[in-house]
Amino acid sequence: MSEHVVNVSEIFRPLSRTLHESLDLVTPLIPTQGPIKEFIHHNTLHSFQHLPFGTAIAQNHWLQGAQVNYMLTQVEEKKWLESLDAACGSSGVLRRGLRYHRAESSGYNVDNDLLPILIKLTSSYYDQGLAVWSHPSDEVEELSFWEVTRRLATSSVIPLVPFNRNHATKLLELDAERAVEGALKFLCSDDLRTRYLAEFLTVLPGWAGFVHEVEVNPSQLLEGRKSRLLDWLAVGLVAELGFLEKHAAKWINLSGKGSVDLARHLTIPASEVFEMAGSRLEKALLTNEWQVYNQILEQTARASQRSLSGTKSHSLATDESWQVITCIDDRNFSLRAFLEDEWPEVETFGAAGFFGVDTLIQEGATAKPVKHCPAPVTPGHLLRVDRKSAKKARLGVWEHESANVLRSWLAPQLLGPLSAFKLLLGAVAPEWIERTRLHKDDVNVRIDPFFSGQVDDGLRHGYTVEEAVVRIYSLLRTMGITKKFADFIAIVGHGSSSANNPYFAAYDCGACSGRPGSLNALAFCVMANDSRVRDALRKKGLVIPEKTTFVPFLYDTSTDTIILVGDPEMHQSHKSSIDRFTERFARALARNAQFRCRQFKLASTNFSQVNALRHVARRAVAWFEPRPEYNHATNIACIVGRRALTKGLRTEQAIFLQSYDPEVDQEGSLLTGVLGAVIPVCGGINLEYLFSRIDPEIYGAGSKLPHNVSGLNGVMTGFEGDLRTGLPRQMTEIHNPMRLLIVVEQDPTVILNCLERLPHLRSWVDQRWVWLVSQDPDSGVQLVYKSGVFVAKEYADVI
Amino acid sequence: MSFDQNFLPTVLHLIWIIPLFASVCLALSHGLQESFVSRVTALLSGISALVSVVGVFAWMNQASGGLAFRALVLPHWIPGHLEILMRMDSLGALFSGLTSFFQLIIVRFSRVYLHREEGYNRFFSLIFLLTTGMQFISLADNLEVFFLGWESIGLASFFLVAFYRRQERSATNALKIFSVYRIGDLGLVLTMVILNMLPGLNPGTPLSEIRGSLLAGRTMDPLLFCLFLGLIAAACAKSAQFPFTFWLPKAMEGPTPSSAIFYGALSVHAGALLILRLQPLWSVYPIVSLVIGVVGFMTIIFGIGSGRVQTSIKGQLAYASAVQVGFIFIEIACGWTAFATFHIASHALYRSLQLIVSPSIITHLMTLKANDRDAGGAKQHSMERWLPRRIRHSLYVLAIQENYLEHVIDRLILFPLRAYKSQLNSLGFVMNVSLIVTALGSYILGPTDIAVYSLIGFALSLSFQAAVERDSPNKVINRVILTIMALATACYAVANGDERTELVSIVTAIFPFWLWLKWALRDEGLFNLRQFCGLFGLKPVSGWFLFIAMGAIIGLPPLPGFFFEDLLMSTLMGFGANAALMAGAALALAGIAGFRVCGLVTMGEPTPALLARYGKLDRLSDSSFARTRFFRSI
Repeated sequence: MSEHVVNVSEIFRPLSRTLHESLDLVTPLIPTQGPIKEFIHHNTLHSFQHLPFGTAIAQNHWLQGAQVNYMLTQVEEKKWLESLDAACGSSGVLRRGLRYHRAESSGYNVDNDLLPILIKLTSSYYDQGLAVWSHPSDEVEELSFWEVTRRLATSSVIPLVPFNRNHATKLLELDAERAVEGALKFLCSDDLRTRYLAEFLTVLPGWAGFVHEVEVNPSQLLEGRKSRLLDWLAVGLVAELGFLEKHAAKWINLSGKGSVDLARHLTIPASEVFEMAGSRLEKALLTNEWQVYNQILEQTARASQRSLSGTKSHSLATDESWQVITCIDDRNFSLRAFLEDEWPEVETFGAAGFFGVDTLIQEGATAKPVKHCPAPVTPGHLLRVDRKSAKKARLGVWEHESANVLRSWLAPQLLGPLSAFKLLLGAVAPEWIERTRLHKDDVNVRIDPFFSGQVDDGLRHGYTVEEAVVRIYSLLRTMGITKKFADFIAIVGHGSSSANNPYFAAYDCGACSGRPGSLNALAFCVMANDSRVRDALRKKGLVIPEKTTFVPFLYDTSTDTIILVGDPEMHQSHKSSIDRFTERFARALARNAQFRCRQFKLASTNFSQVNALRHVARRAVAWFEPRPEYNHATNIACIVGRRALTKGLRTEQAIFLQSYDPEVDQEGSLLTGVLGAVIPVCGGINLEYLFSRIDPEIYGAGSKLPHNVSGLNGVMTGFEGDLRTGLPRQMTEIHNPMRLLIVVEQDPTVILNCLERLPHLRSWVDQRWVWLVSQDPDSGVQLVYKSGVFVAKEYADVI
Repeated sequence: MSFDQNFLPTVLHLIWIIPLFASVCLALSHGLQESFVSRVTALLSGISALVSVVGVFAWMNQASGGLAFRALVLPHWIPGHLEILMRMDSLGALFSGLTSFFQLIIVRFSRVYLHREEGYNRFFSLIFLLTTGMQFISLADNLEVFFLGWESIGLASFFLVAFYRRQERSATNALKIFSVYRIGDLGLVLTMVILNMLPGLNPGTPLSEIRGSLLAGRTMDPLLFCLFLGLIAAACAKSAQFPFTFWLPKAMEGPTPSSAIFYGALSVHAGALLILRLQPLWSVYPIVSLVIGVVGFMTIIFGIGSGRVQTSIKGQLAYASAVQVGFIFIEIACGWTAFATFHIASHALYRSLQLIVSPSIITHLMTLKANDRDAGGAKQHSMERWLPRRIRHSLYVLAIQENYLEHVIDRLILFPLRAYKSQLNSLGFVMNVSLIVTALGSYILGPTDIAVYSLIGFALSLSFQAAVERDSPNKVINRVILTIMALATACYAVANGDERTELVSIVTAIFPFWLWLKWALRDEGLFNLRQFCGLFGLKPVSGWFLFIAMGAIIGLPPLPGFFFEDLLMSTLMGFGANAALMAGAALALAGIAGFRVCGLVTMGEPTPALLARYGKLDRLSDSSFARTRFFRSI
């Protein structure tokens, strides 16, 4: 991991370095966000994670001028910012450095000319099929960005401004690396190169980050590109040189003029300055955070005492019993509470929403397989989906204008009157023209999860019985479903319906890399219902009764509806039981909808259940609704433990619930797996919300309303803007920016052992990006993790 | 069914009065609760739509042709020739009906879409300002009323592009668009003035009574040339036709519904409406038809080229809009009026729907791609692949740089100014002095012609200097007012007695605005033109006053500057078309320079100097509100 971390003082230290050394130093500065069609929540300041939480925030304030809104009271915040600014001398140095100085002194701001053309060239090269005429080059999939641009500029009769300038033309003859070197020779002196590159990348952090991200993970693109940050820099820097040559020729070489002075004048604050500011920030945060944490911790402590002294939970009803396994997702927190309240006999569990089925899923024979498991997991399996009804695209609205002159002339005339009707419906009765996810897909679908013998590129098509057994065994054991099996076990994956929403992937299941978890649930159920698997499980000591059936469902979190997944024939034999279940589940869903309506200012707090359901259903289909749901907003904690701990937990926040039975896992092997997923996935979600909330412009994506979809890769603000990273304001506006509290019901020594086995996750807990609390399964004593040991809560606030 | 005599005019006036009322109320509603504002806008747009329906039906019932209604008489103390002539005819009914329809839809849409957004009230105020303007131009029966609407649309457009006014790119684009609009405005003023000078026409003549027979036998003289030049320039600037196409994609900076109603539906067709209204005049001359057709054709060629390479959905739709209006221009030029009208309506509906659902494009294309792949379809190739590589690359380079249109316009107008800025400053002084001396000398010695021309030359030189000033807002304001004074003097020299008194009163009315501007921007340390200063973030009310004062000077109706513009043009047109054209250019440049000052001072992030003076920014008002007590219902 060490090569991906930011080293601030090195970047600003004047020193001649090779280009690659400089690049390695500056690359971690840019955000990492791939194409928006799959949204993987991650720590926005991922490359600062080796530093303590507060220090990283302080450093980013100095570097980028990032704010810390809503973390502290306004007075505290002002005080903190002022003292930090005073100690550092300035803020946002990357935006007010060498290039800014040049623009100020020469009166020519190269960004005004550079950004439009650089954005156009970049988005054309990476376009995934939005443009009608994507790119003139036939070999765009084989050639690098620099190569393509170079060919375009040299073979075009019409000049490509500014590559027709003298210096730029000469550099066009070189390869990317030497072009960057060549351009930098003109742009700044050797010892300032690193800093210049850092500033250049910060001009378009979104695009630069995208280029880098698809360089690291090229499979994210639908159409392959030879992406390299170096190539992008070559195009950008040569263009910059060209424009400077045209408009501010005497400012080309910065090294002579004042830039050295400037570099000397910039005092790089000692790392202690950030550390002190960081610890001051964290101290101020502590009070707020622990006030909320304590409310939760007190209840779980009490709950564990209750379960120790009290009787065991309800015995299963005799005639027809259900166990429900939902995703760990915080949106299931309230739902599970309502379900248990409506139906006390039911037992609910939480697990990561891919249900152990770590797979790629391929729709149809030639489609690109997509990942259906958490981001840190590398799937080794591939499942094919067989849909009864293929998805049909709506036609009409998107007849392409520029594709064909005659058609473009005719389309508005033919479709105009129809559009009037659609506009009217879209404005007054959106549910008539848009459909929710439940109707769209996943209902009539078949999956054969068993190994077909085919292996492509190291991907095995399906699971063997043994592989299936391992997954089912560990999932059930982790949750503590080992002895008591109900007649039916519902596996509830979740997804979210929304209309007119480029961020759709961010609303789906985070444990499935931003896709609905229905197919994973289906695959799990098919495997778990298979007699061979049951036999093998029995041999391992996990006896699932004959009559127990696993049933897959999809829970639509935005409309609060649930639907059976898979071929109807498959469920034919239990149809009436499933119907009864869905009916009872629907009652819990209605109450959940009613409860969720309190988040929305436009909904009434006194909605009846029917009205509440209607309200949330409309949100999911309306074109004019930028908030189909509030998603993970207000998430605050993740509780890993038995349900007894959290049953009846009352809080205003949302909580991730992972079922875990400490009794069957004395040595912590299951816990290692759980923490390995929970910390990066839930922690990532939490921190993404936190950062997008505290500075919506720098960390987040700003307001959703002026967003403009670019090349299927992401959204820009306006016509020629930077690609936006992070989450839009409409998703995070009710979020309280607090770090995630992870409560683990297990002996502290076991947890420490687990952490030992997860060295790559140490910085999360050691540098306080999440809080980790252990709760003893027997005594209920709670200890807080603090730099390598667990201490009593009272000592935790000493950072 | 029959109506009372006064019923119909009243209803028809309500069509524009309601949106105007809504716009003004919302502009003044600072600090009102969102939920209240939302209800009020819904109510007003509903009533407005109802009135529109009633109006159109009543009109259809009563008059088969046009129906004039001019009940509104302006008080006589208002100078100038402004008369509110309105008329409902089939074209007007269509535009007016469309406007009401879109107002209803967009308001319904945005009430939820803009929920919790900063500037909620401002957004609706501007949308209503747009619809007021659209109703004006739909129902206008003289160009003065048309111009009122035209300017309202321009202003609403400027402020909605810069809706996120702290973002510098939005503000820059808004200023660019305003500059293009300004060219169009001057074109319209020119048309208006010349139209009033044509024999058989006077300010009281309604548009509907203009007949081609007026021009029977008249060959194309400079006056008519200016008329048609102004007309086409105005239409092209407003409808983003060649060579002004480049501004349309840049306008996609505001919230999606505002882009939909402006650049998909209404304002982009305003130019076509202008041309349709004056069709009896220009259709007399085939050459004008040809020019309109060629403009449309060029837009289609360039627009399709640039549209095909756009990688962002709103950019693509912007070019598609321009191309469709190009088709409409060709249809108008061919004389297929009814068809063009139908095309306008269907295009408006179609395009605004596309813009509204533009965020869905990802879902849509992903689904399409999945289907294509299922069918085993390879990657779609564009038709350009058949072209030889060199031509293909050249075409692409041309298209991706938006056909250099912006470069060319920039180079023609601004580059010479920028490049010779320093020379102009020193030269300008010599030039000014010599022009003043000439003016004075010739005025005293007799030849008024030379005096007038040198005064106009002086004004032109001053406006140039205002446009190149890149530092001090005060200097710009001074040069703008000097430009106006020089033009006023020239006008005074050629005016007759009545006009002179009128002129004096108008200029007197302009002065206080200038003084207020001087006072507001007196602090050179706070405001400079090298960067955006961000006054709106700290003192929004002062910001608005700046715009109003500047509008009063540079001629936004119904403020005094507009009457000055009108009077100046009509007086000078009588004196000579060249003089009027030069004066118009000076006014346009001064106007752009003046508005630029306002834009730079008010928009953007507040500068440290301003922050130090006026204190810290208020945080956006959407502080998190806690969930109500959990599990209350259990």
